[in-house]
Amino acid sequence: MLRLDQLSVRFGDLVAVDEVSLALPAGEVLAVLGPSGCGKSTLLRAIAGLEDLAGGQISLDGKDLAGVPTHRRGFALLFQDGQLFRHLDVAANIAYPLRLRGVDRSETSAQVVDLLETVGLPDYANRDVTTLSGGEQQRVALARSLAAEPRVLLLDEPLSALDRSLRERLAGDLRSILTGTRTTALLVTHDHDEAFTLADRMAVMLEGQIVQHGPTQRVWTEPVDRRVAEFLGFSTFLVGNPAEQVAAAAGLPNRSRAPLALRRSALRVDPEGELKATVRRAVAISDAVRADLELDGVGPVEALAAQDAVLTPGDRVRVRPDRAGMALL
Amino acid sequence: MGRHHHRLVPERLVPALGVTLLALLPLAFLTVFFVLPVGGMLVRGFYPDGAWDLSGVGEVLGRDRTARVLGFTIGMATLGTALTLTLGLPLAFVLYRLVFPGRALLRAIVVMPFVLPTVVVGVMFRALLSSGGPLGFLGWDRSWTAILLAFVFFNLAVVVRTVGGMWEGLDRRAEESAAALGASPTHVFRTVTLPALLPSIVSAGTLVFLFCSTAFGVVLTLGGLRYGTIESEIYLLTTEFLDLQGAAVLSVIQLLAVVVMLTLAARARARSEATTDRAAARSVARRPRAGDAPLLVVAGLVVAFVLTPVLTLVLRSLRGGSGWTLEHYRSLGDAGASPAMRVSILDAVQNSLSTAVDATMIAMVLGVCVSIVVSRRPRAAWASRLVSVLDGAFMLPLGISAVTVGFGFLITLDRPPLDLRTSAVLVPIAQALVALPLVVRTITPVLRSVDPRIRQAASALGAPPMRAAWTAEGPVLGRPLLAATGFAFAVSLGEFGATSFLARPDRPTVPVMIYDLISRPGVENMGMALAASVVLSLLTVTVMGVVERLRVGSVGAF
Repeated sequence: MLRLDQLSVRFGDLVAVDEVSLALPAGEVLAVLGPSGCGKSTLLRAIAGLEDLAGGQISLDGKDLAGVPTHRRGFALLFQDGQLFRHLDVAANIAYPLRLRGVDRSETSAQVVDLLETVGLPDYANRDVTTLSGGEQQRVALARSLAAEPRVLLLDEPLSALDRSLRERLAGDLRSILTGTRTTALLVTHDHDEAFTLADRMAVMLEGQIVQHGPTQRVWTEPVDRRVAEFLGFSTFLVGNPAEQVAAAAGLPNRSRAPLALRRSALRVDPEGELKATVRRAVAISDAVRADLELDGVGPVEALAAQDAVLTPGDRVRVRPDRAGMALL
Repeated sequence: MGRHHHRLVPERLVPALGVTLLALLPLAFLTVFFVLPVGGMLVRGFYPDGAWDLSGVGEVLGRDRTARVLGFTIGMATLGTALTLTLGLPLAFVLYRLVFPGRALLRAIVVMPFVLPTVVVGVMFRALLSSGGPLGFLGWDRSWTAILLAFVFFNLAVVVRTVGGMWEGLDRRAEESAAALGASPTHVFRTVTLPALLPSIVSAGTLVFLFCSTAFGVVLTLGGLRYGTIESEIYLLTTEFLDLQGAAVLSVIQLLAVVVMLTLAARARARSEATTDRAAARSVARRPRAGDAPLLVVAGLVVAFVLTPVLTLVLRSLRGGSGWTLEHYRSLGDAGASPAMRVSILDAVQNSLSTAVDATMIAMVLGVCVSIVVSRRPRAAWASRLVSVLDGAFMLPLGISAVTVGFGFLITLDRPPLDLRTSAVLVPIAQALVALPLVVRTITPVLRSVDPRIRQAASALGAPPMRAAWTAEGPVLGRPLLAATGFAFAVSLGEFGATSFLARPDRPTVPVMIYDLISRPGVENMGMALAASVVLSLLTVTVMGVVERLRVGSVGAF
């Protein structure tokens, strides 16, 4: 169990990490999700022992890590661009932590073969790392990290440098490797999908503070406040009568008259829908049409329409609310 | 409609044409003032009376003295390089990976010796080690140890600048990955940092070896002609024994060695440019920790080692027969103060300044041309090879015997159409030749660091090739140009080797006068040499202080 208590990091007057407390049970993957500049990388570096703490405590299995240098913490760090050692080939990179632990030669090469198999790169042992693609470099870097058998694997935006299809494929592989090897991992990222695919639990970090954390699915659907909701992709915020009207139409009980946050997917242009709206603008996106609507009695909202929908400004349309994309704040 | 004119000349040839024209001027200069003199010197040696005569080669090589000179040169250069690297690496770490108050000042202090005139460095170590000096009890005056110390003093800047610049820019995340995987700090250094630094260490080490093995002013002032290095031997054979064949043989050996070393350095430089991931804007420097104490101590001692000769020089220049005095400084304006002089030292300062201004202008014009040419990255393999050959060619003056060049000037530029022997332009030209490689090494890395996509973007927006290059590279050039100008000026001010051959007796420069003064006995002569050295150091250090404030990392880095 990795536990952070009231952890703070300062750079001069700037408070980069502000009294962060988190717990990560063994075998789980925790994602710290936040926009760039929120302090999440600093948090990761502090856990690794690469930044001095201004306050608080990091402990692993009940043991305080204060004063334990990076190389004795038993972690491994995976950066977004791999940081492979360029003067070593693939096998030597993966063997690096094994050598450090004095694993003998034959055992080392057997493990290197196993690990290359695990990350899906058999036969890559003797390749020069500079000849690898970005995705291959990340896989090798992952194998190198796993070779250390880290007590906690720290991942800094591990997939952000890759293109989209590769990112999605590697995210799936990474998830099954992490669960398959029962690796405890802490991931920081700004990418919702990356966090969603990889993590069991999610913590949202804004301006140095953890503002919400819990199981990934819960955080995703139940943001605690408007800032978190905005960061998680909720784009329309309603209060008062409009909020009630939309919630009621979606069958969402809202007795406390809480403000309502909507993702685009919460409102769908649909001839069967019970709400009415006027089209202000429509833009095609990859698998749908994004529409800015003026919802009758509510005001401007964002909605989605089927990919083949033809919407021109001024059109009158019907809208079906979907409570899956809604959250009460 | 006018836009279609461009199409008459194939677009891709336009930049090639411009670059070729740019290359011609410096190439012509190099040919006339470098290849010709050096060639002339070699011809005198190997082709004396209108016929090839290589019979002397074996004889010269077989001489005991030649073997001794070569052995001493290589031995001293090896020792000098090893010592400079050993002391320079900790200093590079402290000055480029740690942040602490006063760092900028320390960086300036460490780079200073590189531009101090060699003769002045000689005078400093004499002042320090001679019998009346603070370290006179060591008995190192006029010994090889003194020369070795001066080598280290002079070349530390090369190591600190070259390796430090690289170290500062290394992406620290590679080291952090290794540490997280369980590598201890020393293990991280050995397995990650050192391999990444190796190209810059090789590059700096090769250059230091080169500077040590071709040093002239330092050897002459510290060892007299007692210790023959290859350079002082060439001087001796040329001027004292008129053994031009012997000198030519040694020059050729030196030339070959220099080419080999420059090639090695260029390879290492190319590798370090290719393999570094420059850290994206994040500063890797950190505050000192307790574990840095040993390195901080070493760095402190090295800085003390740099400051001691300087302070000794200043203090001793203020000492007379009866305590503290300004008499040495007062006599600087007096042309009759010593029989060694025909003009006053203040006149010599004036000569030095005006010569250095001329030399700087020549070096800058040529240096900018060369830098633009060698920073291109042509796509064709032959063209890019040509560029790297040019790059190397303009480095040659850095290592070739100043004596060979100086003497070569005298024997080849002495008849029409180029009868320059009595002309005052020879000195600035020779100095410009020495400063040129340093100008190129200051400006080229800056040009190379400009992302080529900026130029491509400008081209795509409709800028013709020259305009596109100017848009991309012009804005970054300001400070490097100023820095290179100051650097060239400082180096020209202190140039001794070639100038000593070419300066006319009635128009000596300060380094030449200092050498004249210290080669004569007498306390007054030494005192004036000390005062003149202080004045000259002040000039160069002031110039370099300004350069240092410009914060151009490539100054003095190789």
